[in-house]
Amino acid sequence: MAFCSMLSKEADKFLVIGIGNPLRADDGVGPYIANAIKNKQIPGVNVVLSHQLDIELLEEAGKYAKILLIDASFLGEGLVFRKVQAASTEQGSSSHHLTPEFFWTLAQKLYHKELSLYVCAVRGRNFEMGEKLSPEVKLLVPKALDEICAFLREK
Amino acid sequence: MDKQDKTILISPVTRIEGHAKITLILDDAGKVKDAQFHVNEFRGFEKFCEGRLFTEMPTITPRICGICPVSHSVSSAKACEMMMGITPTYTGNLLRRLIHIGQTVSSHALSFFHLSSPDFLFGWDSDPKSRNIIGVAEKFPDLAKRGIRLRKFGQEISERITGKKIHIMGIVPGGMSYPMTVENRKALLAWIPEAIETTKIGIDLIKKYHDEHKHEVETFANFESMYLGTVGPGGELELYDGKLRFINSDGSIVDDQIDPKNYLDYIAERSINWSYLKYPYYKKFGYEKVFYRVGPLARLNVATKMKTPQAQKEFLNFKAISPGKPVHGTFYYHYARLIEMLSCVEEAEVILQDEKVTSLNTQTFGNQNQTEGVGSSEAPRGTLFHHYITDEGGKLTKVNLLIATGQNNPAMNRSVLEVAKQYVNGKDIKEGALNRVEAAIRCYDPCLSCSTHAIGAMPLLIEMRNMNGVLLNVIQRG
Repeated sequence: MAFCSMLSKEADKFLVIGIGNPLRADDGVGPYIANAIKNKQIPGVNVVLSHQLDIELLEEAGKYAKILLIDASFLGEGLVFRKVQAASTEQGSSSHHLTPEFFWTLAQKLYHKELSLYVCAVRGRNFEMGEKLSPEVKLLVPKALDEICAFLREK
Repeated sequence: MDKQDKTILISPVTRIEGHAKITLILDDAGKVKDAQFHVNEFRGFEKFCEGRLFTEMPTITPRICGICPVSHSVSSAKACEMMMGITPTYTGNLLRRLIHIGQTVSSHALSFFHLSSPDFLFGWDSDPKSRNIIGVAEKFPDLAKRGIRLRKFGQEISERITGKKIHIMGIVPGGMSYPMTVENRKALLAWIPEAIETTKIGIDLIKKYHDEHKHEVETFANFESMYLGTVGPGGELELYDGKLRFINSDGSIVDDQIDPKNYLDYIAERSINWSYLKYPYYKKFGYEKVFYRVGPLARLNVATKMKTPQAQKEFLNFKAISPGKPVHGTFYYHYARLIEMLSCVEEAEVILQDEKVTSLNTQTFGNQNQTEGVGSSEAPRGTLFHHYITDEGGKLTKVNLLIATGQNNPAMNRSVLEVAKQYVNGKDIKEGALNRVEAAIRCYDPCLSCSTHAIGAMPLLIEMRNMNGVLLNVIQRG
């Protein structure tokens, strides 16, 4: 990964959070990709794996200059990167997980941090029980790693 | 319930995870006559576990719930140990007990600080747009941060022993498959003072609320019931391992030091036609006479004392609410939950100070020598039973899981009825009344695949019907 080699010199305090359940097939693509990034041991980049984006990650996230969430998506095609904006207080969320927007807003309210927060959504195809990624999503993984490393480098 | 009602209420379309549904039945004068709290979810764990090897159950059953996976794993491992005729090592029990404490703290902190505190801080009738965790974060950021860290402390106990915050692995028949490192023990000990301080802040907050809203607290779904909880040999509060105690509504002990393996001699279940959640009842008295409650309020009502000094001090204040008798007010679940949390943190410190907690002797081994096993523990929401029967090869032929929320089902229905009678008048229902109905359920912190764990807005559907079943009004949220 050429991009990631370059990244190791440039990145500073980037947090990658892989979200999903590895027992629900493509839902586990976030942790799968995040784990691949973790194995690269890139200086300045820390990786957290989590079933869901939960409130306890807020304090940790506030310590980083930039945060990237990698999560499976029901919608879209391939990979979609987006920057997270604030949520309205009416936007619901459950105690098990927060939406990225809710996460951003809580960080601002609680820690006075305007997070530089991004989401990489990977279109999943199969969310049934199983530890294997679907063939379509598995094909996306090398591309996802390349694009995420490029994304990290650009940011 | 007529046939038409049943068709409306138990439609497959409504079998979606996490929605509570309530029917309020009004008399001709528009007064609430009856209430039904519906659970339309069906999980099927008991059925699809049949055919699995019993030793897989401590790994499968934590997946039932993301909030109380440890209680499921512990109860499951105990049932397996009964079948194998083994007991965990001293260190195995210490580590299990510690993880169980972590789960309880995490769950109770979530219930109180994240979900319930907006009501106490902003008031029942305040604007629902700010009566949520965002509102707390804006107005009371220090309290919100403390609540988050307390929950994190609970989860970190699991993570530092098993590597996972939720759906933990490592609780196995015979003990634990992971030891604890000296470094992790030290790190967890460092959390204790902050965890105790935060718990005490929560206790102060609820006591202040009690003082300022005395009438509401005392009348909020206040009704008599029996109580069930686990106690130690001296009647002390016990969450991880002990014997069962039932008390009557007047506080008298009706059964004590019952081995959990005999639970079916005392508890039976019946089905009702408006919910998939059964109605358990105390067998000796029958379902028509009285029902029992489980969970923090029940545990403190049945307990004679606490195991740790600071919790004991607060326990005496709790007992003083209703000297010599159980505290029946449903609102006091919150207070009981906080006292339990204080007890848990204190006990965690005692365990972590035990040198043997880092021993590598974490597990004993054995083979199956009987085909039936029962295990129990006190989940955050109440007493939990796992009951397995296998064939000679160890494959499960029958599984019975008696879950705390199920045991509180009759009481939740009664609580909804009491609160609705108090705050609902006629077919129109105001937001404040809706919130109180929701809060009555939330006192029990039930786990309907976490339907009541939505932040500030439990998905809720209330139908108002007259005595003939005619739909008068529908209020939906979420």
